[in-house]
Amino acid sequence: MNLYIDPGTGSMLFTVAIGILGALVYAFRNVLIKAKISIFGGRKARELANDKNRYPIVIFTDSKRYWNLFRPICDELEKRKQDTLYLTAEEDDPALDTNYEYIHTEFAGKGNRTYARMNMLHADVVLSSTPGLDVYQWKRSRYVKYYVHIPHGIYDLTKYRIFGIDYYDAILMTGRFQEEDVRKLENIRHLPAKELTIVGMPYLDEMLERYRRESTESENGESDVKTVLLAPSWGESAILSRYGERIFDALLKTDYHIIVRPHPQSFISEKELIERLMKKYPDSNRLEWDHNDDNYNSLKKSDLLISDFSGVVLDYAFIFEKPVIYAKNVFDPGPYDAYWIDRPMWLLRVTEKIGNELTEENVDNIGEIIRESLHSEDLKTRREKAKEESWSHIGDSSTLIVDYLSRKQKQLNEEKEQRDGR
Amino acid sequence: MSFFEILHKLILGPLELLQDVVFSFSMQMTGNPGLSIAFLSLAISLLVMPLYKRADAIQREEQRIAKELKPGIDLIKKYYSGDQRFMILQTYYRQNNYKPYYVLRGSLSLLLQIPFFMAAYNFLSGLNVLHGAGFGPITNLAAPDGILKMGDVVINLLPFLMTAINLLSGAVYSMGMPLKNKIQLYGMALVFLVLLYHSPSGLVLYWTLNNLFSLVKNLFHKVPNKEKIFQYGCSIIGAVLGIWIALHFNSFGSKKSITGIAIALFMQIPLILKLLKNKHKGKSKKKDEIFRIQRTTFFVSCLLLTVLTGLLIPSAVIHASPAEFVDMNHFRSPLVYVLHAFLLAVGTFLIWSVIYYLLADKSRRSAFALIFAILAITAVTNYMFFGGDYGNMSSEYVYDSAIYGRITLAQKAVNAGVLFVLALFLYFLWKKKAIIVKMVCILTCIVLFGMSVVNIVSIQNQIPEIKRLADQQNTDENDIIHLDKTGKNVIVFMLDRGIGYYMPYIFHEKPELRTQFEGFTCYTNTLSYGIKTNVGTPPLFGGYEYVPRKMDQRSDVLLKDKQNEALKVMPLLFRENGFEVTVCDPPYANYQWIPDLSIYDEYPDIRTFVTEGRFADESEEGIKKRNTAKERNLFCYSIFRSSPLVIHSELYDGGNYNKTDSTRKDYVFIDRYTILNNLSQMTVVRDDGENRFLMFTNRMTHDPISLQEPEYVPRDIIDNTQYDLEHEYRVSAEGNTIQIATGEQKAHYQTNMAALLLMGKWLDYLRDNDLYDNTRIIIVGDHGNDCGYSEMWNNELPLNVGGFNPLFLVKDFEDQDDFRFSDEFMTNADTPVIAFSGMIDNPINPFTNQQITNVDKNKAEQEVCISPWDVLVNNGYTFMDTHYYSVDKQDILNPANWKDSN
Repeated sequence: MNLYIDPGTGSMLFTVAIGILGALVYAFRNVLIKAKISIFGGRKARELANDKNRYPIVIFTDSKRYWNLFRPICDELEKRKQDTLYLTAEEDDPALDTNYEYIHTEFAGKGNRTYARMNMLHADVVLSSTPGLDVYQWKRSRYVKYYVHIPHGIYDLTKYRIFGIDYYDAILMTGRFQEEDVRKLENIRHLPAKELTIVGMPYLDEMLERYRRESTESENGESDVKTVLLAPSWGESAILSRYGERIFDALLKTDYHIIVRPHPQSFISEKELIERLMKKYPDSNRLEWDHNDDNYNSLKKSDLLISDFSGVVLDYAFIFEKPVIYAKNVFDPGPYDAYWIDRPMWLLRVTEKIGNELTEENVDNIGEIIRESLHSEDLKTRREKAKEESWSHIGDSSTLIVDYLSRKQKQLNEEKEQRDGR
Repeated sequence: MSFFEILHKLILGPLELLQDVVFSFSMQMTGNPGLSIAFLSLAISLLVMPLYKRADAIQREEQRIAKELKPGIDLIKKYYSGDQRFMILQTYYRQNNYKPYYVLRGSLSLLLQIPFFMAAYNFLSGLNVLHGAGFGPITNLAAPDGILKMGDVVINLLPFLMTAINLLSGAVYSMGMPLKNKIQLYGMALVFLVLLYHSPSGLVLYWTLNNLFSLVKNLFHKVPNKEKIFQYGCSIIGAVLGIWIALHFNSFGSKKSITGIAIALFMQIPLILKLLKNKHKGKSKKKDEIFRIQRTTFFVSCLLLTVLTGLLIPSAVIHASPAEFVDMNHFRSPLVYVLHAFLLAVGTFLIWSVIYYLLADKSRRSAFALIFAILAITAVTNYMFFGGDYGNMSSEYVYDSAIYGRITLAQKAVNAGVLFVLALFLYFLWKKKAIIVKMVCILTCIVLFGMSVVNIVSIQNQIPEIKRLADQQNTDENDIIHLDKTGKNVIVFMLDRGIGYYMPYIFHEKPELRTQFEGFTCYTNTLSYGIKTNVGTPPLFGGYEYVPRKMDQRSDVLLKDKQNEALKVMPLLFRENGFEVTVCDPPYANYQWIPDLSIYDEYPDIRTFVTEGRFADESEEGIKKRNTAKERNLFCYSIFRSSPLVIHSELYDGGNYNKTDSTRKDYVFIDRYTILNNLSQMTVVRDDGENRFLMFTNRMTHDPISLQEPEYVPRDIIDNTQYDLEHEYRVSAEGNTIQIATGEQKAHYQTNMAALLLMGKWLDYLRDNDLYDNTRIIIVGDHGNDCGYSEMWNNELPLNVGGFNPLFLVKDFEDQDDFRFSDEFMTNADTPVIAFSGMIDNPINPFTNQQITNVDKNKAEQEVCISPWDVLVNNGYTFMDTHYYSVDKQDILNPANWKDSN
């Protein structure tokens, strides 16, 4: 057939043809990604995907790193004899070695198996700190009634990659400061309002508890020589790259004891720099390098923290209630949800309030700033205020979380019974 | 039927039908294929416009969304890659209610236009009327135009014109668009220049006009307030057109006035839709409910129309006499016709109507629904209560007699009044309680469906018996014409509308005819007393007592009876004189279209036959053609029966149902052609010394079609371009010329030629069987046809005299002289006298007891008469609305010899 059309229509048809092609490619990729999960997802996920394997509460984590967040919650659930499944994406998650009676732990499988397991999961409530639900391969399961997100620290909920928390039903916040951003995102994206509950932060509770306990145990008084902890982040805009020898020299000019604790990633990504610095400034009675996995001891031992913007600044200020000096690093909000909020992240704002800034101009006089920070009553007040604003229910978070999960689970079942009964 | 055939019928069927009807209508109005193409292009462009508009709107919306989303997409693309980017984009689209698939939604209405183009292409490339038809400088719309000739190089100009318009249109369309788009447009225009360069010029003309329309549309698009201008502009132009038609056409109901009024009304639609759009501002919840009711009503109305036109009416037609719809030689269930009508109805009402409805703005759907509800209910009313009394109908849905004039003005008025009141009532009901309209439609639909099922089941039950009869059928009976080797044979052979003035050219073009017609004299100065069969045949068969003046003088006898007398004069006299008499197809016997042979029942020894229909085209193609036409026309019949009486005769279209290439006409022609072609097979040679008389009528020349030159035979595709170019002027032996230029002239000339060639073949057969010399043969026309020749036009009367010049060929016994022409004055009323001459002395008309002579011929001036042709109307005691003229017999073809003699 010989088909002819006028140029206007012809051009439209041309556009259409390209559009169709695009749509086809789009559809194909969509199918491909789904196929990957269902093909490589494995039999196990399908076998487990039934109501017999339904759990009232499931905790899902993509990393063993968050065991410190979930352990207190699991302990509380165990205490209340609440049947719970703890699913982890990592084979060496310490949770898998525990011997709970009511907490069942399971390694969900590698890669796509985890997604397959999660996407076909049967549960009433799922608690997770993993962002990007229903955005990446991890989709909402049809057999899960409710997804609850819990952050693994005190930070802006907009610090996740774009759409991080959009498809959760509820969020357990650490403090009220997180609410405004969540609502703003819901607003601009026309998403249903999430249930927001302030519960605090279990792992900080634990840390605080430990600090308090250990402080009373070894009441050794304050030593005369103050200790400064340099715990930078890594990367080109982080302290070590930017100031390198300058900050070491400046610190060594002071009387303080110095602990340097590079970011673990620095030993991988900027090995040369670290080796150079370690060689030039080896361990001495004035300076020690901390290579421990756990930062607790260094944090506890020190009297002041110098760091880049990061969660550790807040942990330090809130738990140990000690002053901080921070260096601003270049932060590009582009990939994050923070980009869509028309003001700087809370973390930046609050850090500026509770600490003194380390800059190009004052780095050589760091001793001055340290002294000022150690003695400033104003900064102390600010730290307390920020703590109050961002960290609620100190010491009660695990109880509150489990209260919440149980209540929600019960409520969902009641609703279901009501629907079924009619 | 295969799946694709069904799909074709559903999607393209309604469009092809629509294009066919539109083209046919405009052909009937303009008689010009070129203009009809223009009209078709305009109509289809208008019809496609809502689809185009919708596509444009959706695409604009797409573009707006795409523009809105672009910053976000760019951001995501900047920071993410691979699967992650894809999944994030997916989420971003989801949050913005956008799917890349929506491009398809935007393209849907655009894609919907493709069937229109396909249907147009199918329709135009297979259109027979384009063959040999010219338009302006184009000589043949069925071939490339070849307008520019430079030496041996022939250039088709039209494709270039098309491309020029195309480029201009593209330039307007792409104003302000990036260069890429422009290049794309221009490139496409050039591609189509190449693609269509060698296409038939009719097709190229169609696209050229489409492009012109698109250019106007694109120009119009740039005008501010275009919507308003369009709506009010259409309305005003329509109103002016309507008023003009009302003032200029006093006979309302003619094709032109109906079309005009329809267009005038159609042009009000944009404004009406606009006015209806802004109403209904109720509470939104109630509004939703009303909208739901209206939507359901729309769908039910569509369903109702489908059941009515696709099931009930078709099944009722077949149910009336299922056997008639079975080709006894090629059995298939008559329900096939119902299936075809049903598919067309589904395509029309459940597919295309629904598509337009769904593409309409929500605010206009209410009007849509109301219009369809009114259509559906008035259609049922029309079918159930009006216009059922057109008499007997054939299996081709053709009534025995024309329906024109069977419905009085009063009936039309009553029908229109009832419909108007009904529509008004429905309108108010719609406003007050739309749900009642919905319920009425649903109930009617159920009832009609039930009735259809009853019909269909009943038809199904009769099929086995019909099949049994079909298996027994034996139709072969060729024992019709008896001629004797030793006795005397007299043959009067009438060719309906056989034209006298073409004879010199025909015999010169085919010299072999002169040999075949040895002994014949062709009288060129022959007069008929009328230009239609009802006036022309009585004198031909009955002699001078039956010329119109004399007919009207005997005002105590019905015209019908006088016709019957005339048809019996020769048979009875020959019979009395010991001849064996055979009569075939006596025209208007008992004033019936299909001759009523019972007028000879008193004389059982007169052998009577209707030969028409005896030799239907039995080739596979012929059968398929017949079936296709019957399949198409059954749905058309449904529409015709569901429509208001005012437009009945237009939709019925003399039984053609506005089919452009009416295969009905074709196969009616082929049937008559085959009779002439089979004369030898129908002839039985006797040798018992008995005298025999044959009175035979054939109507092939009455409804001419295009034939393939120079063989003058029917073909599916006719291409006479070259031959016509070389033979535009036919020449006679005397060196006179006549132009064969218009379609009418070509068809008539070709058909007359074909008739003589077939007769010549039969004459050869007679000669071979020793039947020639002892046979007197009169080949005569009942009237001629003017064919639009200006040289025969008398501007004062005004009158074209060509219609009064029938052919007249006579060969007496033992005449072995060469074929010759004579300009001796003759009339076809001479036929009986010539037939009797030497055989019957003193022939006396048994009905009037007058001697049959031709003395009246000697009058210097002869009086002829024009009176309406339709014996259904013109059937009193005297001819109605007569207009008499007189002619000086010296040269009847000279218009100057004619004058008014009323």
